[in-house]
Amino acid sequence: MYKSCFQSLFKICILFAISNTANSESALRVACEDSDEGSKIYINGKYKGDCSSALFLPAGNIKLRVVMPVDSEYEKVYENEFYLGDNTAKKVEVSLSAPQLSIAAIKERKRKKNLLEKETASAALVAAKKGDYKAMKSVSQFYEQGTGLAQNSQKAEFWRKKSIVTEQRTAALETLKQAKAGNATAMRSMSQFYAEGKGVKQNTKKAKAWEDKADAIRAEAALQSAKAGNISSMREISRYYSTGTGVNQDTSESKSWNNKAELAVKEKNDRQQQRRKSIKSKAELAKIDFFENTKGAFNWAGEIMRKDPHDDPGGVSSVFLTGPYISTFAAVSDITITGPFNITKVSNLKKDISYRPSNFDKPNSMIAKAYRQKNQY
Amino acid sequence: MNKIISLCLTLYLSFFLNGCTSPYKRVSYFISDLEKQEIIALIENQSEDLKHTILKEVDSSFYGDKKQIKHSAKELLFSFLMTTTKNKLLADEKFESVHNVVGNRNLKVREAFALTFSKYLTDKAYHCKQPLYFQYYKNRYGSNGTDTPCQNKIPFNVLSKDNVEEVTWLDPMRVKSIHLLFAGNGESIASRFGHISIRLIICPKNNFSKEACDSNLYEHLVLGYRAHINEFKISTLKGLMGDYRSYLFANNFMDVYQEYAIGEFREIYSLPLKLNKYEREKTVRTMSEIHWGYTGDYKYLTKNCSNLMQNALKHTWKQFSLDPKMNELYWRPDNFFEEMKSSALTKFEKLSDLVKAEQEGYYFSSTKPIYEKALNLVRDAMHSPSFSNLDEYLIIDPAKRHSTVLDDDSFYATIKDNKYLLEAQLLLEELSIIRFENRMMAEMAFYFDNNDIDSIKTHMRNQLKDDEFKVFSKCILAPVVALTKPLKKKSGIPVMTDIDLVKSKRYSCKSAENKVHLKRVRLEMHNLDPDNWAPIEAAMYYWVKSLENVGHYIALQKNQLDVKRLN
Repeated sequence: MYKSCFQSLFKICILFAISNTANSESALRVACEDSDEGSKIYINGKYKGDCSSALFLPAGNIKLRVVMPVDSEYEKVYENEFYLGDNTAKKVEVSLSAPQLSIAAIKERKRKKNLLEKETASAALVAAKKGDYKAMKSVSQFYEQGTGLAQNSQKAEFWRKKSIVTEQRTAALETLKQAKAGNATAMRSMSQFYAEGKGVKQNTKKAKAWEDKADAIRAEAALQSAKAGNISSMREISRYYSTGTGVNQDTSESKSWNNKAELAVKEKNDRQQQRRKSIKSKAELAKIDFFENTKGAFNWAGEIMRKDPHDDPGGVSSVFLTGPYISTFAAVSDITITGPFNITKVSNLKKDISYRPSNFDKPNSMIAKAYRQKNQY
Repeated sequence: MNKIISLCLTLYLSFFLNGCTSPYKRVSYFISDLEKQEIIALIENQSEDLKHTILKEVDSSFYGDKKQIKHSAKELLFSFLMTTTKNKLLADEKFESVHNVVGNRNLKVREAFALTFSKYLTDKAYHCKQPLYFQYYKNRYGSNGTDTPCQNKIPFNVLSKDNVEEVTWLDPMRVKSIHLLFAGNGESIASRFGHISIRLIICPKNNFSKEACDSNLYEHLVLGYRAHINEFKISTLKGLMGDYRSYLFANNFMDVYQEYAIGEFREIYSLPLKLNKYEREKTVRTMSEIHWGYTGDYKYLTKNCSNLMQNALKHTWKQFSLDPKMNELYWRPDNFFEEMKSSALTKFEKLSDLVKAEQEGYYFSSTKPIYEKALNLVRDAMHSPSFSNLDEYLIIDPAKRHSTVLDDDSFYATIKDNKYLLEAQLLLEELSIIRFENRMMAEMAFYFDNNDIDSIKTHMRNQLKDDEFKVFSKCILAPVVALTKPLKKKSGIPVMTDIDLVKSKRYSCKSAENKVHLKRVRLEMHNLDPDNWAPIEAAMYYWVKSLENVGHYIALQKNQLDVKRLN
């Protein structure tokens, strides 16, 4: 009897338990902001409707995901995990994230990248096989890193070495063109290439020949520059003559250019000295800032002869040939003259001033003829 | 009584000589027989008619029996000519006309007539001294029988910016041609319508070929009427009212060229006058007479360079006076020049082709385009020029200009070897000298105008030691004062002995001692009026700097020549 009772009670409990489990349901309210209305609600990976919605769900662990697509790749997402109790009601306020790459988009991108790397590597391999040293370098790297190509260190090393040799040969060919066109720097490079066997077969004779050509060109340039007055070029060509670099060795020429350089340096120093003196004189006159501040004095914008400095048009030129002012100035200003020009020669100079413009530009004019005639006497 | 009369006569003469007005009253004087005989002897060669008139006048004016000679016959003649009432012995319209051209404005017509007539009657060389007056008297009274040869060298007192004055003695035979010189229109009120003068084409002493004469520009002289400005600023009002004196100035042609073609960028036209050898000599002598004797008023509109020159030519050149076109007085120089160009009096065809005219010395163009060309050349050769035109170039401090050249290695190296570029650079600096020279003169004029000479002298006397004051007087004051003093005028063409042959020993302003004194003088000039002295100092400084720049480039030129010679 007890046995039948126990069995019956057990059955009842089981049924009760089954009936309880089957019927327990809880309410979940998922609320979105107005702007996010219409977002898709996923519960434990299953689509349950659009936001905002009230859902009746069995109690248990809940993985809530609310998604608002932005475009084909981006979406805004809300994710939350919680336990939903039996016969309870829960409200979740959804706040979507900033737009982010969707999982599908991430996968698509990765697929495309792999494809691109393969295509690039493939193209580089084709170019490398055709002799492009830059492509060879790339292929070497692709093999080393396994990018687009299956990782292979041996192949990587092969292409690295091949790229270096090819690059040197290409550079040698390009430099040779420039050297043949007369570029001295290229000539020196060719000389070096031949000496070291870089890109060309090692050849000391050719290395020497290109070096000599470069020296000759450099020497010629230095000579022209020296003739134009460049002091460092004078010294340079002097050295060249001394050592026979680019020119036939000639010690007297070397000495001559060295002397010229020394003279030029002296002259330059003299000029600097003159300049310093000029600046000093200017400083002495600093109190009279002639061109800017001299009160009411000059109106330099106009023709000086035609404008009296003190609102007296015509005054200056009208008395011009009737007055002996210059002797006065010569007496006074003589004090300040320090340059190579002697004031006593001013008068003679001024006679030349009258002739010089015509002599410069109108050699057939009577003024110019008179100048020549005067100088003959 | 005789003594009293003599005293009266002496006083009368002295009044005249001092410029006082004479009463022209008819008076009688004692005259000795000897004095009368002296007068008769003097007029012996005159025409019978004139002798008769004069002696009759002498007889009616003088009486006495004293044998002692108190006055020269010339003085007595002058006296009775001043008091005579006989029309035949008085000035007429023609005389006034001549006197207006050649005379001194300080003399009234009657005085001038008495003075010149008495000279005509008594001076055997009068035809050499005052040929224009002589011609008048000869035409009116017939020849006085004098035919002594004249000196073969005619003096002109030539002024320039560098010399106070220098007498040039000119043999008229060396004058190959005479041109009417016209400087194109300037911008000032005094030069708006151009300027007229005449140019003497003077041959070298030993070469009379046309080419040698034409190109002997150094000795060519320009004679032109100008106002003598006796102040330091020109006054337009005084110019209009005739308060300036005018003279026929003589200048070197090259000074005139520099003033107009370089200083003011004006054109100069030189139009040959159709004068024969006799007319040329006559013109030279007459112009010298006017040059030494004439003093008149200068008025911009009625007595200016144009109409004064026309009057002078009328009395000098017969064909000119007969030309109906020249009856009108052209107060505008440009109008006068245009009329002359279209008349038969000139070789107008010489100016029909200006390129050729410039080659032959009949036209001198403005030098502005040449300086602009030089400027462009220099600017293009410089690494970073700070100027684009002449005005901009000339306002740069000359010392800074030089520093820029020294710093520009490439330009300096080029200019050392490139003769043409160096010449261009030299040209520009020389123009700068001219401009600063003019500026110095203008500023000095303003200084002396602002501080009258007496107050400057007083200040200097108080502040300077005797030696310093002497330097100031000789080296500064004297040349400046010379500007305001009327020129020394002579009655007619002077002879050698009239002009001081031995010039007083020139005072050296440049001796080491005086240079030290001049520093002190400079300081005091500054202390007296710092504001107006400062621009003078500045102008002098920049003038000197320009000179130094030129000196530097001339040294480079010499270096180029040396290198060329060595090669």
